[in-house]
Amino acid sequence: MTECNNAEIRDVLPDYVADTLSAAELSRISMHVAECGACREEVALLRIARNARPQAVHIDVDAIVARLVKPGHIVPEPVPSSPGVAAATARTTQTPFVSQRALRSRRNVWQFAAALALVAVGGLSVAVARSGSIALTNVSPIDSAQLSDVATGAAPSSSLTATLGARSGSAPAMFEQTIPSVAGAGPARARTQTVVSVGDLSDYTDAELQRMLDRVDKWDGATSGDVMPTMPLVPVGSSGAKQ
Amino acid sequence: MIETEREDDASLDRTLIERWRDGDERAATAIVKRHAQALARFAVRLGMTDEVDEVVQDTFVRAFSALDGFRSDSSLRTWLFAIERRLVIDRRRSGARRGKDVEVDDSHAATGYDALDVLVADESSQRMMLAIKALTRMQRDVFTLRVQEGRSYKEIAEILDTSEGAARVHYHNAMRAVKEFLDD
Repeated sequence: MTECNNAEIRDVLPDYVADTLSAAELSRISMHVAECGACREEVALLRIARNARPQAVHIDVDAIVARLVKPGHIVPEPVPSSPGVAAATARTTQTPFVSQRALRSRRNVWQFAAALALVAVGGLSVAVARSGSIALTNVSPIDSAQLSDVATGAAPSSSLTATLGARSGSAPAMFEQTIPSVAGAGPARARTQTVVSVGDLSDYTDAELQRMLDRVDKWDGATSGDVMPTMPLVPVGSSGAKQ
Repeated sequence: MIETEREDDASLDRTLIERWRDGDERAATAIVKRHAQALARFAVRLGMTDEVDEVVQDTFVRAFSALDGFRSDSSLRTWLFAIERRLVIDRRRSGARRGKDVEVDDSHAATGYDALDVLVADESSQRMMLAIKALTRMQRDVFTLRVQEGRSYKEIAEILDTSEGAARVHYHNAMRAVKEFLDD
Protein backbone atom coordinates (compact mmCIF):
# COMPACT_ATOMS: atom_id res chain seq x y z
CA MET A 1 0.00 0.00 0.00
CA THR A 2 1.49 3.33 -1.06
CA GLU A 3 1.57 6.47 1.02
CA CYS A 4 0.74 10.06 0.11
CA ASN A 5 3.61 12.49 0.50
CA ASN A 6 1.32 15.24 1.80
CA ALA A 7 1.64 14.73 5.56
CA GLU A 8 -0.65 17.65 6.34
CA ILE A 9 -3.48 16.06 4.37
CA ARG A 10 -2.85 12.66 5.93
CA ASP A 11 -2.98 14.24 9.35
CA VAL A 12 -6.60 15.31 8.90
CA LEU A 13 -7.91 12.22 7.10
CA PRO A 14 -9.33 10.81 10.36
CA ASP A 15 -11.30 14.05 10.76
CA TYR A 16 -12.42 13.74 7.12
CA VAL A 17 -13.72 10.23 7.82
CA ALA A 18 -15.36 11.38 11.05
CA ASP A 19 -17.03 14.19 9.07
CA THR A 20 -15.92 16.85 11.48
CA LEU A 21 -14.17 19.18 9.02
CA SER A 22 -15.35 22.66 8.13
CA ALA A 23 -16.99 23.13 4.72
CA ALA A 24 -13.85 24.72 3.29
CA GLU A 25 -11.59 22.02 4.70
CA LEU A 26 -13.97 19.29 3.56
CA SER A 27 -13.93 20.66 0.03
CA ARG A 28 -10.13 20.91 -0.04
CA ILE A 29 -9.61 17.38 1.29
CA SER A 30 -12.31 15.93 -0.95
CA MET A 31 -10.56 17.36 -4.02
CA HIS A 32 -7.27 15.89 -2.92
CA VAL A 33 -8.73 12.48 -2.14
CA ALA A 34 -10.46 12.41 -5.51
CA GLU A 35 -7.08 12.75 -7.20
CA CYS A 36 -4.87 10.76 -4.80
CA GLY A 37 -5.14 6.96 -4.90
CA ALA A 38 -3.05 6.51 -1.76
CA CYS A 39 -5.32 8.77 0.24
CA ARG A 40 -8.42 7.02 -1.12
CA GLU A 41 -7.03 3.72 0.11
CA GLU A 42 -6.19 5.25 3.45
CA VAL A 43 -9.68 6.74 3.77
CA ALA A 44 -11.21 3.31 3.03
CA LEU A 45 -9.00 1.77 5.70
CA LEU A 46 -9.91 4.49 8.19
CA ARG A 47 -13.62 3.88 7.59
CA ILE A 48 -13.15 0.21 8.40
CA ALA A 49 -11.17 1.07 11.53
CA ARG A 50 -13.80 3.56 12.64
CA ASN A 51 -16.65 1.12 12.07
CA ALA A 52 -14.79 -1.58 13.97
CA ARG A 53 -15.23 0.19 17.27
CA PRO A 54 -17.42 -1.65 19.76
CA GLN A 55 -20.99 -0.43 19.92
CA ALA A 56 -22.73 -2.79 22.29
CA VAL A 57 -21.13 -2.07 25.65
CA HIS A 58 -23.90 -1.77 28.20
CA ILE A 59 -23.49 0.95 30.78
CA ASP A 60 -25.91 1.42 33.66
CA VAL A 61 -26.22 5.20 33.74
CA ASP A 62 -28.51 5.24 36.79
CA ALA A 63 -26.06 3.14 38.78
CA ILE A 64 -23.28 5.58 37.99
CA VAL A 65 -25.35 8.63 38.91
CA ALA A 66 -26.39 6.95 42.16
CA ARG A 67 -22.74 6.55 43.12
CA LEU A 68 -21.83 10.19 42.56
CA VAL A 69 -21.26 12.30 45.63
CA LYS A 70 -23.57 15.31 45.53
CA PRO A 71 -21.93 18.74 45.66
CA GLY A 72 -21.61 19.87 49.27
CA HIS A 73 -22.93 16.55 50.50
CA ILE A 74 -21.14 14.86 53.40
CA VAL A 75 -20.99 11.13 52.94
CA PRO A 76 -22.37 9.39 56.05
CA GLU A 77 -20.52 6.50 57.61
CA PRO A 78 -21.73 3.45 55.70
CA VAL A 79 -23.65 0.82 57.60
CA PRO A 80 -23.44 -2.24 55.38
CA SER A 81 -26.15 -4.82 55.75
CA SER A 82 -24.19 -7.68 54.20
CA PRO A 83 -20.66 -8.49 53.08
CA GLY A 84 -21.64 -7.85 49.50
CA VAL A 85 -23.07 -4.47 50.37
CA ALA A 86 -20.00 -3.75 52.45
CA ALA A 87 -17.73 -4.43 49.51
CA ALA A 88 -19.84 -2.26 47.25
CA THR A 89 -19.96 0.50 49.83
CA ALA A 90 -16.21 0.38 50.31
CA ARG A 91 -15.80 0.89 46.61
CA THR A 92 -18.12 3.84 46.49
CA THR A 93 -17.15 5.72 49.63
CA GLN A 94 -15.28 8.87 48.79
CA THR A 95 -12.26 10.06 50.64
CA PRO A 96 -12.39 13.82 51.25
CA PHE A 97 -9.73 15.67 49.35
CA VAL A 98 -7.14 17.32 51.59
CA SER A 99 -4.60 19.73 50.25
CA GLN A 100 -1.03 18.49 49.95
CA ARG A 101 0.18 21.41 52.03
CA ALA A 102 -2.13 20.48 54.91
CA LEU A 103 -0.99 16.88 54.69
CA ARG A 104 2.66 17.94 54.79
CA SER A 105 1.97 20.18 57.75
CA ARG A 106 0.27 17.37 59.66
CA ARG A 107 3.06 14.99 58.78
CA ASN A 108 5.69 17.45 59.97
CA VAL A 109 3.89 17.93 63.28
CA TRP A 110 3.65 14.19 63.86
CA GLN A 111 7.22 13.58 62.80
CA PHE A 112 8.42 16.25 65.16
CA ALA A 113 6.23 14.98 67.99
CA ALA A 114 7.57 11.44 67.51
CA ALA A 115 11.17 12.63 67.45
CA LEU A 116 10.59 14.80 70.49
CA ALA A 117 8.98 11.95 72.43
CA LEU A 118 11.85 9.64 71.55
CA VAL A 119 14.47 12.12 72.64
CA ALA A 120 12.56 13.02 75.81
CA VAL A 121 12.11 9.40 76.88
CA GLY A 122 15.77 8.63 76.21
CA GLY A 123 16.91 11.70 78.04
CA LEU A 124 14.66 11.10 81.00
CA SER A 125 15.71 7.51 81.38
CA VAL A 126 19.39 8.37 81.26
CA ALA A 127 18.97 11.27 83.64
CA VAL A 128 16.87 9.29 86.11
CA ALA A 129 19.23 6.36 85.97
CA ARG A 130 22.13 8.64 86.68
CA SER A 131 20.71 10.43 89.63
CA GLY A 132 17.75 12.24 90.07
CA SER A 133 14.36 13.33 90.93
CA ILE A 134 11.88 14.90 88.55
CA ALA A 135 9.99 17.94 89.63
CA LEU A 136 7.45 20.01 87.79
CA THR A 137 8.04 23.70 87.65
CA ASN A 138 6.99 26.70 85.66
CA VAL A 139 9.51 28.14 83.31
CA SER A 140 8.98 30.60 80.54
CA PRO A 141 9.55 29.24 77.07
CA ILE A 142 12.38 30.41 74.88
CA ASP A 143 12.77 30.84 71.20
CA SER A 144 13.23 27.75 69.07
CA ALA A 145 16.45 29.20 67.72
CA GLN A 146 17.99 28.37 71.05
CA LEU A 147 17.28 24.77 70.34
CA SER A 148 19.75 24.77 67.52
CA ASP A 149 22.29 26.70 69.50
CA VAL A 150 22.36 24.04 72.14
CA ALA A 151 21.94 21.11 69.79
CA THR A 152 25.02 22.07 67.87
CA GLY A 153 27.04 23.32 70.81
CA ALA A 154 28.76 21.63 73.72
CA ALA A 155 26.87 20.87 76.90
CA PRO A 156 27.47 23.61 79.43
CA SER A 157 28.86 22.78 82.78
CA SER A 158 26.50 24.69 85.00
CA SER A 159 22.80 24.59 85.81
CA LEU A 160 20.94 24.26 82.53
CA THR A 161 17.55 25.39 81.33
CA ALA A 162 15.98 24.26 78.09
CA THR A 163 12.58 24.81 76.57
CA LEU A 164 10.93 23.16 73.60
CA GLY A 165 7.69 23.63 71.79
CA ALA A 166 6.80 27.27 72.26
CA ARG A 167 7.47 30.25 70.10
CA SER A 168 8.96 33.32 71.57
CA GLY A 169 6.22 35.56 72.86
CA SER A 170 3.32 33.12 72.66
CA ALA A 171 4.40 30.99 75.63
CA PRO A 172 1.87 28.16 75.53
CA ALA A 173 3.89 25.88 77.78
CA MET A 174 1.91 22.71 78.37
CA PHE A 175 4.19 21.08 80.87
CA GLU A 176 7.67 21.58 82.06
CA GLN A 177 10.08 19.38 83.89
CA THR A 178 13.12 20.10 85.92
CA ILE A 179 15.57 17.31 85.38
CA PRO A 180 18.71 16.89 87.37
CA SER A 181 21.40 16.55 84.82
CA VAL A 182 25.14 16.38 84.72
CA ALA A 183 27.83 17.97 82.68
CA GLY A 184 31.01 16.23 81.91
CA ALA A 185 31.96 12.67 82.70
CA GLY A 186 33.62 10.95 85.56
CA PRO A 187 33.11 10.92 89.27
CA ALA A 188 33.40 14.68 89.71
CA ARG A 189 30.33 15.54 87.67
CA ALA A 190 28.58 18.71 88.68
CA ARG A 191 24.86 18.27 89.21
CA THR A 192 22.76 20.58 87.08
CA GLN A 193 19.07 21.31 86.65
CA THR A 194 17.51 20.90 83.20
CA VAL A 195 14.05 22.34 82.59
CA VAL A 196 12.04 21.00 79.67
CA SER A 197 8.98 22.76 78.39
CA VAL A 198 6.73 21.34 75.68
CA GLY A 199 4.28 23.76 74.11
CA ASP A 200 1.74 23.49 71.31
CA LEU A 201 3.39 22.27 68.10
CA SER A 202 0.72 23.84 65.98
CA ASP A 203 2.12 27.22 66.94
CA TYR A 204 5.07 26.57 64.66
CA THR A 205 5.16 27.16 60.94
CA ASP A 206 6.06 24.36 58.58
CA ALA A 207 9.47 25.90 58.00
CA GLU A 208 10.20 26.07 61.71
CA LEU A 209 9.10 22.50 62.28
CA GLN A 210 11.15 21.28 59.35
CA ARG A 211 14.20 23.18 60.60
CA MET A 212 13.87 21.65 64.03
CA LEU A 213 13.38 18.19 62.56
CA ASP A 214 16.52 18.62 60.51
CA ARG A 215 18.42 19.51 63.64
CA VAL A 216 16.98 16.61 65.58
CA ASP A 217 18.08 14.33 62.76
CA LYS A 218 21.65 15.55 63.19
CA TRP A 219 21.77 14.49 66.79
CA ASP A 220 23.63 11.36 67.65
CA GLY A 221 20.94 8.99 68.93
CA ALA A 222 23.36 6.33 70.12
CA THR A 223 23.59 5.87 73.84
CA SER A 224 26.93 5.78 75.53
CA GLY A 225 28.39 5.79 78.97
CA ASP A 226 28.56 9.54 78.84
CA VAL A 227 25.49 11.65 79.30
CA MET A 228 24.27 13.14 76.05
CA PRO A 229 22.43 16.45 75.90
CA THR A 230 19.11 14.77 75.24
CA MET A 231 17.16 18.02 75.23
CA PRO A 232 18.19 21.48 74.12
CA LEU A 233 20.07 22.92 77.04
CA VAL A 234 20.63 26.55 77.87
CA PRO A 235 22.48 27.68 80.98
CA VAL A 236 20.28 29.44 83.49
CA GLY A 237 21.13 33.04 83.70
CA SER A 238 22.96 32.98 80.42
CA SER A 239 22.21 35.78 77.99
CA GLY A 240 20.56 33.38 75.48
CA ALA A 241 17.69 32.31 77.77
CA LYS A 242 14.50 34.29 77.58
CA GLN A 243 12.49 34.32 80.71
CA MET B 1 -15.36 23.89 12.21
CA ILE B 2 -13.87 21.12 14.26
CA GLU B 3 -12.83 23.63 16.84
CA THR B 4 -16.29 25.22 16.76
CA GLU B 5 -18.01 21.90 17.34
CA ARG B 6 -15.59 21.01 20.09
CA GLU B 7 -16.14 24.40 21.67
CA ASP B 8 -19.91 23.78 21.56
CA ASP B 9 -19.36 20.41 23.22
CA ALA B 10 -17.11 21.94 25.84
CA SER B 11 -19.62 24.72 26.43
CA LEU B 12 -22.43 22.22 26.93
CA ASP B 13 -20.30 20.21 29.34
CA ARG B 14 -19.46 23.35 31.31
CA THR B 15 -23.14 24.24 31.52
CA LEU B 16 -24.03 20.77 32.72
CA ILE B 17 -21.27 20.87 35.32
CA GLU B 18 -22.56 24.19 36.64
CA ARG B 19 -26.09 22.80 36.84
CA TRP B 20 -24.77 19.77 38.69
CA ARG B 21 -22.98 22.00 41.15
CA ASP B 22 -26.24 23.86 41.65
CA GLY B 23 -27.86 20.59 42.69
CA ASP B 24 -29.45 19.47 39.42
CA GLU B 25 -29.04 15.70 39.40
CA ARG B 26 -30.34 15.46 35.84
CA ALA B 27 -27.22 17.29 34.72
CA ALA B 28 -25.13 14.40 36.05
CA THR B 29 -27.28 11.95 34.14
CA ALA B 30 -26.79 13.99 30.99
CA ILE B 31 -23.03 14.10 31.46
CA VAL B 32 -22.83 10.36 32.04
CA LYS B 33 -24.98 9.64 28.98
CA ARG B 34 -22.83 11.91 26.84
CA HIS B 35 -19.54 10.23 27.69
CA ALA B 36 -20.22 6.71 29.03
CA GLN B 37 -20.14 4.89 25.69
CA ALA B 38 -16.91 6.53 24.61
CA LEU B 39 -15.35 5.66 27.96
CA ALA B 40 -16.54 2.07 27.64
CA ARG B 41 -15.02 1.77 24.19
CA PHE B 42 -11.79 3.27 25.40
CA ALA B 43 -11.69 0.87 28.35
CA VAL B 44 -12.10 -2.07 25.97
CA ARG B 45 -9.29 -0.76 23.81
CA LEU B 46 -7.11 -0.36 26.86
CA GLY B 47 -7.45 -4.10 27.36
CA MET B 48 -10.32 -4.29 29.85
CA THR B 49 -12.53 -7.31 29.31
CA ASP B 50 -15.06 -8.13 32.01
CA GLU B 51 -14.80 -5.03 34.19
CA VAL B 52 -15.61 -2.36 31.65
CA ASP B 53 -18.75 -1.08 33.36
CA GLU B 54 -16.94 -0.97 36.69
CA VAL B 55 -14.06 1.03 35.24
CA VAL B 56 -16.47 3.46 33.63
CA GLN B 57 -18.33 3.86 36.92
CA ASP B 58 -15.11 4.42 38.82
CA THR B 59 -14.02 6.97 36.25
CA PHE B 60 -17.17 9.04 36.70
CA VAL B 61 -17.06 8.76 40.48
CA ARG B 62 -13.43 9.85 40.54
CA ALA B 63 -14.09 12.66 38.10
CA PHE B 64 -17.15 14.02 39.90
CA SER B 65 -15.36 13.98 43.23
CA ALA B 66 -12.56 16.04 41.71
CA LEU B 67 -14.51 18.38 39.48
CA ASP B 68 -12.79 21.33 41.13
CA GLY B 69 -9.58 20.09 39.57
CA PHE B 70 -11.05 20.03 36.08
CA ARG B 71 -9.41 22.66 33.90
CA SER B 72 -11.90 23.87 31.33
CA ASP B 73 -9.10 24.50 28.82
CA SER B 74 -9.34 20.83 27.92
CA SER B 75 -12.53 19.03 27.04
CA LEU B 76 -14.36 17.03 29.69
CA ARG B 77 -14.10 13.88 27.59
CA THR B 78 -10.34 14.28 27.26
CA TRP B 79 -10.11 14.67 31.03
CA LEU B 80 -12.32 11.60 31.58
CA PHE B 81 -10.19 9.55 29.19
CA ALA B 82 -7.07 10.55 31.13
CA ILE B 83 -8.66 9.53 34.44
CA GLU B 84 -9.88 6.24 33.00
CA ARG B 85 -6.49 5.41 31.55
CA ARG B 86 -4.84 5.93 34.95
CA LEU B 87 -7.45 3.73 36.62
CA VAL B 88 -6.84 0.98 34.09
CA ILE B 89 -3.08 1.24 34.59
CA ASP B 90 -3.59 1.02 38.37
CA ARG B 91 -5.73 -2.08 37.92
CA ARG B 92 -3.13 -3.67 35.70
CA ARG B 93 -0.43 -2.99 38.26
CA SER B 94 -2.45 -4.33 41.15
CA GLY B 95 -3.35 -7.35 39.01
CA ALA B 96 0.31 -7.89 38.26
CA ARG B 97 1.12 -7.73 41.98
CA ARG B 98 -1.51 -10.40 42.61
CA GLY B 99 0.21 -12.56 39.99
CA LYS B 100 -2.43 -12.23 37.33
CA ASP B 101 -1.19 -12.70 33.79
CA VAL B 102 -1.71 -9.14 32.62
CA GLU B 103 0.08 -6.86 30.26
CA VAL B 104 1.95 -4.02 31.85
CA ASP B 105 4.76 -3.36 29.42
CA ASP B 106 4.09 -0.80 26.72
CA SER B 107 6.61 -2.45 24.45
CA HIS B 108 4.47 -5.57 24.07
CA ALA B 109 1.48 -5.98 21.85
CA ALA B 110 -1.96 -6.18 23.39
CA THR B 111 -3.43 -9.48 24.43
CA GLY B 112 -6.73 -8.48 25.96
CA TYR B 113 -8.87 -7.71 22.97
CA ASP B 114 -11.26 -10.62 23.31
CA ALA B 115 -14.31 -8.55 24.23
CA LEU B 116 -13.84 -6.38 21.23
CA ASP B 117 -13.36 -9.41 18.99
CA VAL B 118 -16.75 -10.69 20.08
CA LEU B 119 -18.39 -7.36 19.46
CA VAL B 120 -17.36 -7.10 15.83
CA ALA B 121 -18.68 -9.66 13.43
CA ASP B 122 -17.69 -8.20 10.10
CA GLU B 123 -14.68 -9.94 8.56
CA SER B 124 -12.91 -6.80 7.45
CA SER B 125 -13.50 -5.32 10.86
CA GLN B 126 -12.05 -8.40 12.47
CA ARG B 127 -8.99 -8.17 10.25
CA MET B 128 -8.68 -4.57 11.25
CA MET B 129 -8.96 -5.49 14.92
CA LEU B 130 -6.20 -8.02 14.51
CA ALA B 131 -4.07 -5.36 12.87
CA ILE B 132 -4.74 -2.96 15.74
CA LYS B 133 -4.11 -5.73 18.21
CA ALA B 134 -0.63 -6.22 16.76
CA LEU B 135 0.33 -2.59 17.46
CA THR B 136 2.34 -1.57 20.47
CA ARG B 137 0.25 -0.26 23.32
CA MET B 138 1.10 3.36 22.69
CA GLN B 139 0.47 3.06 18.95
CA ARG B 140 -2.84 1.36 19.61
CA ASP B 141 -3.96 3.97 22.13
CA VAL B 142 -3.04 6.81 19.80
CA PHE B 143 -4.57 5.15 16.75
CA THR B 144 -7.89 4.35 18.37
CA LEU B 145 -8.19 7.76 20.01
CA ARG B 146 -7.44 9.46 16.72
CA VAL B 147 -9.43 7.27 14.34
CA GLN B 148 -12.25 5.90 16.43
CA GLU B 149 -12.79 8.71 18.89
CA GLY B 150 -11.79 11.61 16.67
CA ARG B 151 -9.49 13.17 19.27
CA SER B 152 -6.96 15.76 18.11
CA TYR B 153 -3.24 15.22 18.61
CA LYS B 154 -3.28 17.83 21.35
CA GLU B 155 -6.04 15.97 23.21
CA ILE B 156 -4.30 12.64 22.69
CA ALA B 157 -1.13 14.10 24.15
CA GLU B 158 -3.10 15.19 27.25
CA ILE B 159 -4.78 11.82 27.66
CA LEU B 160 -1.66 9.73 27.18
CA ASP B 161 0.65 12.12 28.99
CA THR B 162 2.92 12.61 26.01
CA SER B 163 3.72 15.37 23.53
CA GLU B 164 1.68 16.37 20.52
CA GLY B 165 4.59 15.58 18.20
CA ALA B 166 5.07 12.15 19.73
CA ALA B 167 1.35 11.43 19.34
CA ARG B 168 1.55 12.38 15.66
CA VAL B 169 4.56 10.11 15.10
CA HIS B 170 2.85 7.22 16.90
CA TYR B 171 -0.26 7.69 14.76
CA HIS B 172 1.65 7.58 11.47
CA ASN B 173 3.73 4.61 12.61
CA ALA B 174 0.53 2.84 13.64
CA MET B 175 -1.10 3.56 10.30
CA ARG B 176 1.95 2.20 8.50
CA ALA B 177 1.94 -0.94 10.65
CA VAL B 178 -1.79 -1.50 10.07
CA LYS B 179 -1.34 -1.21 6.31
CA GLU B 180 1.52 -3.68 6.36
CA PHE B 181 -0.48 -6.13 8.46
CA LEU B 182 -3.44 -5.95 6.08
CA ASP B 183 -1.21 -6.31 3.01
CA ASP B 184 0.30 -9.57 4.28
